[in-house]
Amino acid sequence: MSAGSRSGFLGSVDPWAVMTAPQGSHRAASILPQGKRVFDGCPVSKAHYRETNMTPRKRTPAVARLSVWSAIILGVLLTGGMTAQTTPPSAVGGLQELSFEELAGITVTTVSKREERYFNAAAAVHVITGEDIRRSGALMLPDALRLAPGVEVGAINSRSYAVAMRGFNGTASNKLLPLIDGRSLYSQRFASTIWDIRDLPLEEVEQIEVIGGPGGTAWGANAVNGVINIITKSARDTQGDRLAAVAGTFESGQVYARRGFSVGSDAWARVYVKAFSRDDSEPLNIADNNDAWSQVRAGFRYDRGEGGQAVTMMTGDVFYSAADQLVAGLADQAHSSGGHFLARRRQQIGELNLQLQGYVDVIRRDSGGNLSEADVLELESLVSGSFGPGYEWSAGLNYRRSRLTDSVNPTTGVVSQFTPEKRWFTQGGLFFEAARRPPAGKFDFSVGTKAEYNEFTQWEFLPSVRATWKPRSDITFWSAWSRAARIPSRFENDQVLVVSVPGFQSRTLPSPALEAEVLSAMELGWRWQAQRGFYLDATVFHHRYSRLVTTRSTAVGPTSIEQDLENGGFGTSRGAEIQAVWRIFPWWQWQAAYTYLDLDLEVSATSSDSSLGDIANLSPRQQFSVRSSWNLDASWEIDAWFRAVGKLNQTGRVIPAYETLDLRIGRQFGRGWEVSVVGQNLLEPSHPEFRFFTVRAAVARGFYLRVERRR
Amino acid sequence: MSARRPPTPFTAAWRRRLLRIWVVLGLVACLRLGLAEASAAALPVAALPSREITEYEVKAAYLLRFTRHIEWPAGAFATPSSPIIIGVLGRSPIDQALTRTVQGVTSQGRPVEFRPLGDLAEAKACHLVLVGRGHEREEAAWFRELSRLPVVTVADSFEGLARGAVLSLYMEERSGGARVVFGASLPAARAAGVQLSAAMLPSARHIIREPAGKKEPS
Repeated sequence: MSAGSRSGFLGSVDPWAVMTAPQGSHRAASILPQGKRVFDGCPVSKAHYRETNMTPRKRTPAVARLSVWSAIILGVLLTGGMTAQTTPPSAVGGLQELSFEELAGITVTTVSKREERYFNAAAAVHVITGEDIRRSGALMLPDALRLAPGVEVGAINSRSYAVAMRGFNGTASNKLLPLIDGRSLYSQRFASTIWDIRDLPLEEVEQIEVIGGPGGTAWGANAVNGVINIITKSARDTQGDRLAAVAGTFESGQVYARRGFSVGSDAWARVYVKAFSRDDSEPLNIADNNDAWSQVRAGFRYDRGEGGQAVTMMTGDVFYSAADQLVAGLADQAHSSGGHFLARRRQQIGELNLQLQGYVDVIRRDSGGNLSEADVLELESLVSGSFGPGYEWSAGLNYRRSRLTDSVNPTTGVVSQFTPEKRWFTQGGLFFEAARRPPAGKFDFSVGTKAEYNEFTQWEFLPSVRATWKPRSDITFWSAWSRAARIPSRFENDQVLVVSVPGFQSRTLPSPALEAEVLSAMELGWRWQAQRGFYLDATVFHHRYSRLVTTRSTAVGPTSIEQDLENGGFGTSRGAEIQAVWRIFPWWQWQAAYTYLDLDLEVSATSSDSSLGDIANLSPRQQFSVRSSWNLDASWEIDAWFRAVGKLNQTGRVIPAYETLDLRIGRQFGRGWEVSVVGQNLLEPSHPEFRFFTVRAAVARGFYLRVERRR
Repeated sequence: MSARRPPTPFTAAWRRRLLRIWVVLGLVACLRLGLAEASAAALPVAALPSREITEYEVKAAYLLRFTRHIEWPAGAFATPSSPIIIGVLGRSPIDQALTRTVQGVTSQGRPVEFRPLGDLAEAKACHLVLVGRGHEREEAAWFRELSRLPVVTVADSFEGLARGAVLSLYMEERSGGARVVFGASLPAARAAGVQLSAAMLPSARHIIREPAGKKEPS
């Protein structure tokens, strides 16, 4: 340490400051404009560090490293890293006199956008960056969502996932709204998201905003317990070629190829192909789950005029998926195909910012002889401006038209008939929000509402009030009250479902009188950007649900039951979502997340429903995860990710709590090569995460190798 | 064949043994003294990470470089020796780096002063104002408020240029890693009544030349 500095080793760990060698020593930095730097007097070119917030550490002899590590780890444990802070000696010497060209040539350590962009947000936003996903080793979108606190992810089998936030998990997790670039992935047919056909190349994800709590004011109906907002990278940031291949035990194979190129001087584009196959899941009660599957997807993104007054963006993809499955115990294959096209334009007209977006999304699915088609067209406009400094407003209009068609094969023991067989479904509404955000003021306040029409329940009002208090530049408190609604699905409104087992038959009748389920939510949050790279984000919430959908028996006999649906349930939930990020050194980062949920549901006195209370047991009461990302030196990366998830205490069908560990070792070679080896679920041979009726599968320990080439 | 030599402190085995002892001693020292003294005592200089240049040190250097290439209107300074004031509006991690960068530096014969800003009104007294990242929703209104004053607004994002900033600093991903580059908006500079030097513009990665609609990329 430098003379006169009393601080400890961690004293100079500060995200904005720099580790410096003692002044005057021969190791003081010198800057070479070509992105090279001098280590001990010899130029070393930096490894390929795209899209990373962390920097490599200098190689040290193994001997020193070992002892230093033991000392550091113990020291950190003992003191919690709380040592006196002194400003490191000046580190900017030499930069002041560089020309523009030289400054543009310096390779820098970037500061994570996560901590900056969302610091003042008055909502429970947790950001998963593309870099987080790369370092986690997750290959499927639902697995990547485990990175954020508040998200419950349970693999049902090889291809199906139950994903929810703040409770109500299941295959029909109907209170979570996922979007990719503003395109809704929610199925109005099931009132849930079919994750296996909603894939995208994770390499192209810029970030995933995981927003806990109601997002209805901005996103409309069904954004009840949370919104998963996936944002893909601009084509400007994905120039060049990228080729990646994965081979492994459960993740049996994956290939991703991308070409990024510029179109003229002001536009960029990329095209990609992704294909993968996944092996069978581990069976628990039968010999073979027969659920291996594969998918191929091709797509593009085009961006034009990013720095100008008008910005255009287009995305599109097509996919085809084939999945083995068991239907009534017999091997069968489900086929899905579809695609989307989305176009967005942003323009500044005088004082106003205008955004127009439209997309079409088409899905065809053939499963066990049941054919279903879902075509969606949505048009959206958003305009924002200001009443004067510190006072802003935004207003929006959207229109969505879906065509849902189902034709059913009655031979499988489950008969479901839809009336009408083809349904046109219209949703649409308007939204207005006004906000007071004085520049550099201490208090922000916003109030807004969305009024949305849908064909089943007519108008729903989704207001929210949000406030932020910034007592100091490094601390934000926020609170929000909001109301959200989950509208009925085609399944609930149009379907006769007959389930027959020998000697018993249950008939569920259509329930066109159903109303929307309603949530009123109170949330409080706190964020702290401490010195030394420590960032803390905590949210507590209290939710009150009413008009929850329950079953109502209309005729009960010894060998049959007939029922329909009503809004006979209500309840409350309380919970907390806490995330901590600690960049101990520029080359070593820890992230921890903790989720607590206490959900308590009841039915009204007149209701005959007996299953609503069990929904609380579909979500773990507590979840904890901790992840370490460590750059050993300029080319080696070591990542470890530990997760602990509480048990799912369903009556007679308990899924035990589990702990699991993933490890990743990555090596950057020269000329754009990267190789990584990942071990997943290493702590036990297999564990179940979720179950669905008779489907019982476990997630097995797995390994894969990934090789990537970037040009 | 030589006889087996007795182990000396110079054999590999002994070196390993010494190392173990040293580690244990280091841990004990940590336990006994707490981290500060222990790390100072037990960490060789070689274990310190290499010197990394952070995004905001380079951005601070850019801000200083900008002051050397901008001509403000005559009324922007009270006296010939008045300082050039760089303000930072909103939260930004640039504060420390900027403080050190402008310390004792002169630009165009004037001292350079860094001033963290409490509100928009204070920004009107500055010559160069950086708006921190994380204020995307508000910055368009702030730029508009400052647009007719001789204040050079600098956005900390690529998109800030389209929102009305005179200059913007943003990251460009290259195969060697991330670098900081800048963009400039000539209509915004004209509105502010400041002159960006001809020596500066060729270095800009992106230039907006036309007020709206049609624009020719650099």
